[in-house]
Amino acid sequence: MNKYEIHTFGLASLSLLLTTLVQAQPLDGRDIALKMHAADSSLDGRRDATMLIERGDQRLVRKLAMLNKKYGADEKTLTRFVEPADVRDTQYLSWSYDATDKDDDLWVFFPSENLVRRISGGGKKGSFMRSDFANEDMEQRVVDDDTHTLLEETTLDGKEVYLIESTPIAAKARDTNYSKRKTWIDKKTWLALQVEYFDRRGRLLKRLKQGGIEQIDDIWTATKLIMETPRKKSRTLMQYTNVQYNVDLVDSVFQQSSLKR
Amino acid sequence: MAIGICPTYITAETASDPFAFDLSAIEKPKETWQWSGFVQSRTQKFMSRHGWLSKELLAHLELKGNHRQWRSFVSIDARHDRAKRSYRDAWQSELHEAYLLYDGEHADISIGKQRVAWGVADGVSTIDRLNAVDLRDPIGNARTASRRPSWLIRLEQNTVFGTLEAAWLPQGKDRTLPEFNSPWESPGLHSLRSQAQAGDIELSIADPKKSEGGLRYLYYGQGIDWSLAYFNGYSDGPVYSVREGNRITLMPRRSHTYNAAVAFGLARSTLRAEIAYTPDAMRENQRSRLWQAVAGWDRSFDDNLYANVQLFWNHHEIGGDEHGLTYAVSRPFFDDAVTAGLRGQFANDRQMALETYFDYDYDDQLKIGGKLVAFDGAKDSPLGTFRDNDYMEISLRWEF
Repeated sequence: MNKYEIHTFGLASLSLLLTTLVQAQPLDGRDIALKMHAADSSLDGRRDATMLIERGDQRLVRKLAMLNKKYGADEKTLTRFVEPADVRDTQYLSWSYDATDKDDDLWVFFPSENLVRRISGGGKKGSFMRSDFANEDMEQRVVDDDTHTLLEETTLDGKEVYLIESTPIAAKARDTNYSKRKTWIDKKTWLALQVEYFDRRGRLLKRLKQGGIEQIDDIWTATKLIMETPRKKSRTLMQYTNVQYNVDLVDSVFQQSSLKR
Repeated sequence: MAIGICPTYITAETASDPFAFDLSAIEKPKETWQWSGFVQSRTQKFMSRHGWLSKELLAHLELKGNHRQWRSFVSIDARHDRAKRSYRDAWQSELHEAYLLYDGEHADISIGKQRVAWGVADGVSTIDRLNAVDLRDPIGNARTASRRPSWLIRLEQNTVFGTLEAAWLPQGKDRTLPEFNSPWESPGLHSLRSQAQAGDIELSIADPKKSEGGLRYLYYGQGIDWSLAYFNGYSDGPVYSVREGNRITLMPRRSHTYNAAVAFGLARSTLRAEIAYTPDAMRENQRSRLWQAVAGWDRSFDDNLYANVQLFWNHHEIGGDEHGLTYAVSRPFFDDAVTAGLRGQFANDRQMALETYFDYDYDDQLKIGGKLVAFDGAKDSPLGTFRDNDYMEISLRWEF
């Protein structure tokens, strides 16, 4: 082995060692949150959603059609209400920005007046269509709006999971109903299998379970969700159907001029 | 058509598999043709005088069609009023909207009878003029006038610089007048009609049925929307009178309005503003320049409390200015089953309209509503004209 070969061998060994060391570094809470956030690797997509709200003897049904498209870290979504009849064809268009200092843009379309109207992004803590979901639960939360701590690696329903605790950063604490969230994340699919939401006093407020997990267009997708509010003895079932990814939606779909009855 | 919940929507939910439900069993609306509607009973009773304003049963039907890039929409109303009123037939039916829309990727065209709202302001708008105020039943709510869909052709062209929109009403707006002896009839019009009935004068009310239209350029962007608009058309009601001997003709008058509007998000609020200039408005039976401005703020708070306030100001070249504010505050309660709120307006000459209301969604089909509406102001002012029309309303609606 000449001097050059020794040098090359040494560099390769060092490189391998460093790679191994880096790979062996355990994931921290933020790494896991980032991987969960990246589980949906699609560029765009469409899906229909049906919600059944069970509250005492009452059964309420909501149907939605949803489209989304990503622009780097930003995202545009269009949600059309299909049921119930009194909100049919009402549509929400949102342009969401990853930057924490940038407010989202939001427009609503009222079919009875053919009117597109800019609205403020407030009201996120309120209920989404009278369901157990809050408006803020319906959107993808920006990873760095919270600090994430890995609590443990454990199992849930026979699946190996990471359990992380996410606490809003000071600048975002007023924007959310929750003082913290605990999320059980499947190591195989990087999907949340269960989320527990805690109120400002640190008491359990709601529990979300996600199932019906399928690989659609090579993307792991939870197609069935159950959100329970134990204190209200209320729960909402939600099912996604007709899920499609990377359907090449044109940009004009997310323009205000596309909002029509 | 309404959805029906299949009794087996949860097929085999067990403690071991909470996801063994299938909501896809819930009937989906048809993709191509959908019909829906509601039946409603609405009772309105005068509060400051004897009698009923209305005891109406209304059936409203809608049919919507989708075929590739073509869309169609038709809605009809049939109503029967059991209140004994001399000024209106008990049975009324009406084609409310009927239009066909071609939804292209860069351009759209719609033809038919439709409601198209322009402007960003709530309550009082300076450019929402493609549809006439329904002067027979002018109160949409204490803050907003109710408007009638117009027969029009509307073109929309989308460019990278924004949206260009043109609307043309070949026969003008669908104008109505309050019937003789209706509680919404102005004292001036009532007096002229009474004199005509007595044979003291000859009165005719003309509707020109001439074309009207407008152009608008809109830009929707990050954090801000703005628009420029122009409207060329007639007033909603007769604002001009011609007297020849004992013959009086009342008629709407054409005017031109130039408008700029902006809406932008600021923190969690939305700020809205409109300015408008009409060089040939009518005032005291003369041409008069009119400048208008509206500025407002609205916000949805975290618990879904909604607040909206808008200030308006009309400066006339002839006669005094008009100014005031409109407001709305509402909040949902009881798991959002009930929404309660206040809305209304204040204006010069002690004008006031106040509405206290609640809407209760018993379930997805049955809705119950109630309201108290009160008016005040100088007798000859627009709102003061209605000061004897305070009423309470109870409504029951079943949607399908």
